[in-house]
Amino acid sequence: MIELKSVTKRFGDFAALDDVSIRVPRGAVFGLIGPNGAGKTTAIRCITGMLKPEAGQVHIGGEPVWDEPGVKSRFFCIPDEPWCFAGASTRDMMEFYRRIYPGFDEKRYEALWNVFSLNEAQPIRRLSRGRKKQSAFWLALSARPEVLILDEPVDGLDPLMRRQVWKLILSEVADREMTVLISSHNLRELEDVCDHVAILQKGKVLLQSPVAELQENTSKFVLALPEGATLPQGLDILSQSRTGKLITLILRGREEELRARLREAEPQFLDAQPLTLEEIFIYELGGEDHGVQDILL
Amino acid sequence: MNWEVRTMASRTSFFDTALFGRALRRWWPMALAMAAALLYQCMASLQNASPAAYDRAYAILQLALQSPLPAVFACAAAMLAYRYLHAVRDAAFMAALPVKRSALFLSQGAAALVLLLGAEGLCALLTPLFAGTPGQLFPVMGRWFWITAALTGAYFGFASLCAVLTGHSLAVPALYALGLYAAVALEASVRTMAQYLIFGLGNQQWKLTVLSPLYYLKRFSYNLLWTEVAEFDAFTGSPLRYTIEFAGRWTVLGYLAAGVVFIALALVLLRNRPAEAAGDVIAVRLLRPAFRAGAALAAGCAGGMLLLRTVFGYTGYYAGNGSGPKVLLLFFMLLLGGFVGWFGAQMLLQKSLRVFDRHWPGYGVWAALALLAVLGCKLDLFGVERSIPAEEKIGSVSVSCYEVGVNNTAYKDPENIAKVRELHRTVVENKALFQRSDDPRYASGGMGYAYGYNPGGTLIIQYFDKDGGILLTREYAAPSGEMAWASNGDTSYTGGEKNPALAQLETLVNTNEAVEQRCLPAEGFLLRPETTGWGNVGAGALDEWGYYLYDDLLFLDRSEVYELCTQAIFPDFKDSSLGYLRLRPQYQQDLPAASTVTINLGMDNPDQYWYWYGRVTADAHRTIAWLQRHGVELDDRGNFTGTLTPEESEW
Repeated sequence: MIELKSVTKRFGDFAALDDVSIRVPRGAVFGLIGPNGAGKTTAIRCITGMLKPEAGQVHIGGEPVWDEPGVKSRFFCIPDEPWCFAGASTRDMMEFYRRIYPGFDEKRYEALWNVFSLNEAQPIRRLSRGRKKQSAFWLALSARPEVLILDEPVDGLDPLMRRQVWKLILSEVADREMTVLISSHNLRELEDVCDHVAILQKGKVLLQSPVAELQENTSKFVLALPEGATLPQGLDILSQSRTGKLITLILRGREEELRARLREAEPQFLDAQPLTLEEIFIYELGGEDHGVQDILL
Repeated sequence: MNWEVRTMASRTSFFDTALFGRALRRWWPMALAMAAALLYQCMASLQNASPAAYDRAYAILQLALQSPLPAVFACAAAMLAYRYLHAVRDAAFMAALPVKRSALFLSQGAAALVLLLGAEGLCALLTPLFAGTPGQLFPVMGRWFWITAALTGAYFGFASLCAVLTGHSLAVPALYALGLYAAVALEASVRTMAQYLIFGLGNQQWKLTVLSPLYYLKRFSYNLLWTEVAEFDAFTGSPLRYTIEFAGRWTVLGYLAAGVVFIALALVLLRNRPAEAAGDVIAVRLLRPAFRAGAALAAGCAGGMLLLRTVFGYTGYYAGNGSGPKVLLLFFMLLLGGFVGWFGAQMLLQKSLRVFDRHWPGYGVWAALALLAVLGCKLDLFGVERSIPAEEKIGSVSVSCYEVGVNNTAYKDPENIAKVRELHRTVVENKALFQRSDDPRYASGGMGYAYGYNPGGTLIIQYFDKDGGILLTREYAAPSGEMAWASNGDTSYTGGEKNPALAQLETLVNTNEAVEQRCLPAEGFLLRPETTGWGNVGAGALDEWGYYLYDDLLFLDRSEVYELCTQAIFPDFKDSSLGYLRLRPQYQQDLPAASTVTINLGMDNPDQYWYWYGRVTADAHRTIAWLQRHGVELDDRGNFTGTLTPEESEW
C-alpha cells in the first residue's frame, strides 16, 4: 500500500534518509521505529508529500504521492502536535475536511462524538494536549482514509482513551483493511498493535519484518543441565546467561525444533518463555549499534 | 465501498473552494481594518481639499496614486496567505492535504486579494455617503477604486513573490520594502557615484524610478494627474469649468501586469521551492548566490554613498566638476559597503555570525569588480564622457543654462544642431576648465559646492532622436567665472578665465531659433488689444565715476504695449535684430560708449503670462523707429542721446 523505493533525502550534507526502502502492505499496522534523529519524521514527511526526495520514489497504492491530490485524499496524517487553523474548533476543522476529503463521513463524525465527548465548538488550541489528540483522531477516523499515518500517536492520551483509540483504529483495519503507519521511538507502545515493524537508524533501515515472523524465528528457553552436561553443538545462540543452575538462552530458530535439540542434552528442567518485541530487538540488533538501546528506553 | 473512486481527480487542480472559503472566514478582520484605514484617509483628504468639485476629485485621485496603504495591506495579506510556507509545522500540514501546491497557493492568494479588493470597494461605497455628496463623489470614487485596485494587485503580486522567495515570515516585509525601493535606491547611489567619477553625467532623466512604484507615484504623480480647463469664457478668457486628466492609466496597468507576472513567477519558483526551506531567509536555493551578490551591490553602492554623504559631507550634485570625493575614498567606501552587504547576507543565509572563515574569494571578486568600475569610470574606459550622438540620429537638441537666462531652448535646425555638437565637443575637450575647484570664493571650506550651489552656471545639453526619445543628457557645472552671469547689458562678475565654450554658447543662444523661443510669447498666447499689458522704457549709462545712472523715460499703457509688441518688438525678435543675449563676463564685454535704452514689458491673460526685459540694440530698426515716434531720444543705433541728470538718477 505504501512503498518507499530507495529513497534518499538530504538536508545539506546530512542524509536524513539514505537509500531507504520500506513496503507497508495493505491492511497492515506498520510500526516505524527508531531513536531520535533516525529519520522517522523525514520518512513520514516524504510519504505525506511535504518533502521531495532527492532520489527514489514514494508511492501509495501504486501511485506517486508528490503533489498528487488524488493520492493524498486517500490518507490522513496525525502529526505529533496536531495542526489546526488559528482559532479553529473541531467543528470548524470538520467543515474544512468535509470539503477536502471526499470520503469524509459526517454520520461517523456524529457517531464518534459519543466516544470523544469533546466540546466541538471549543477552539482546538485551547484544548489540553491529550484532548487535541482526541480531536485529531475524531477527525481522522471521520475522514475514513485508506491509510492512516500517525506520528507519536498516543502521547498525552490517558490509558483508557489510548485503549479506546486503538480499538477504533483496529476495528477500521479489520472492517475495511485500513493501513496504519505508526512512527514512534517507543517500542513498548507499539508491541500490542503492530503486525509489521521496521527499524530506522541513522537514515537507514536496519530491519523490516512481520512481527510474527520475528517471534517465530527467535526463542527463549530456561533450562537446568545435569552435572557435566553441555549444550548441543550447532545452536545459534543470540544470548546466554546463568543464574545458579538455571541457564537462560535466546536462540535463533523455531521453538519446536530448538526444544527437540535441547532435549538431546537431557536437561533436568526445560521451559520455553514468550519473547517481547523489546527482547527480540535487543538480541537481534544488540550488537548493531547503541542506538537500538535508545528505542527501548 | 470502492475507495479508488472516491479519490479526487482534477476537480481541485488549480483552485480549492474549501481553502478559499476558509481563508475568507478567517481573514475578514484584516479587510475591515483596511476599509477603515482607507475610509479615514479618503475623508481626511476630502476635508483638506476645497469644496470645489474638481479640487476634491483631484485630492481623491492623488490619494489613489500616493497612498501607501494598499502597499502595506497587500504585504500583510500576502504574509497571512502564505504563512504556511514559513513554518515547518504549517508547511507539513498543508503539504499533506489533498490539494495541489499550485491550487493551495492560488486559493490562499485569491482569498487575500478578494478581501483587499472588497475593503477598497467598501471604502469606495462609503466615502461618498459619509461625505454627504454621493452624486458628486461616486464617479470619483469609481476612478479611485480602479486605480487603487490595480495598484493593490501589483503590490500583492510582488508581496506574493517575496513570500515564496523567503522561508521566514519576518523576511517577507523586509524583502518587500527593499524590493519596492531597490530600483530608486540603486539608481540614486549609482548615479551619485557616477557623477563623482564621470564628467558631464548629471542628475537628469532617472530611468529606474518607475520600477519603484511607491516612490515614483509619490514623487511624480503630478506628471500623471493634472487639472485642465475644460471650458473658457469666450470673452474674458477666464476658465469656466475644470476637468481632471489622468494620464497614468497605462502606468497603473503596467504595474498591474507586473503584479500578474510576479504571481506567475512565484508559481514557477514554488515548484522548485523545497518545503524544508521554511525558516530560511532565502527559500529558493538557486537564488542564494544572487541574494549575496545583490546585498553586496546594494550595500556597496547605497551604503557606500550614504557614508560619503553622512560621514564625509559630500552632498548634492556635482556634474563631474571635480569637487566630489577622491577616487581612493570612493573605492574604499564601496569596499566597506560591499563587505557589510556580502558577509551580512551570508550571516542571514547561515543564521550564524561565524561566516568569516569562508566566502572571502567571493568578496574578492566583488572588490575587483568595484575597482574595475571605479577606474573604468574615472579613466573613461567606457567612452561615456566623450559620447556625442551622431548627427543623423538627432531630431532635436535642448540646451539650458538657467543661470545665464537660457531656458531649455530646443534646436531643430541642422545647422544649429551642428553648433550644439561643436559646443559639446569643446566642453569635453576643456574638461579641466570646468573641473577647476580652486575658485578663491570656494577654496576654503568648500561650502558653495557642498550645498550644490554653483554660481557659474550649469550647462545642460539633451539630445533627442527623431521620435522625441532622449538620446543623451549631459550636464556641465562650470565654476564661477567660467560661465558668466546673463548680461543683457547688466553684468556683475569681474574675474575668471576665458572659456572657449562661452563664445560658442553665445552664438548658439542668439540664433533665430533660440531668440524666438526665448523672447516671443509661447505658442497659443492670446494676443489681443484687450490683453492686459504694462511696460516702461528707460535709459542708463555709467557716469564719470563709474556709477550706473538710470531714468525712466516712458510708461506704456495697454494699447501702447500691444502696438509696440505687434508692430516693432515681435518682428524684430523674429529676425533676431532684438533680444541678443550676452554671456560674456563684464570684463570681456565692450562696454557701451553711449547710454543704453532698456525696455521692460509684460502681458497678462488669465493663466498666461509673458515678460521681457532687454536693451535696444543697433539692429532693432522697427523698435528704434517706434520709440523715436513716441518721443524717446535715441539715435538710429539705439543709443540714448538725451541727458541723464544726476539728481534724478538712480544707481
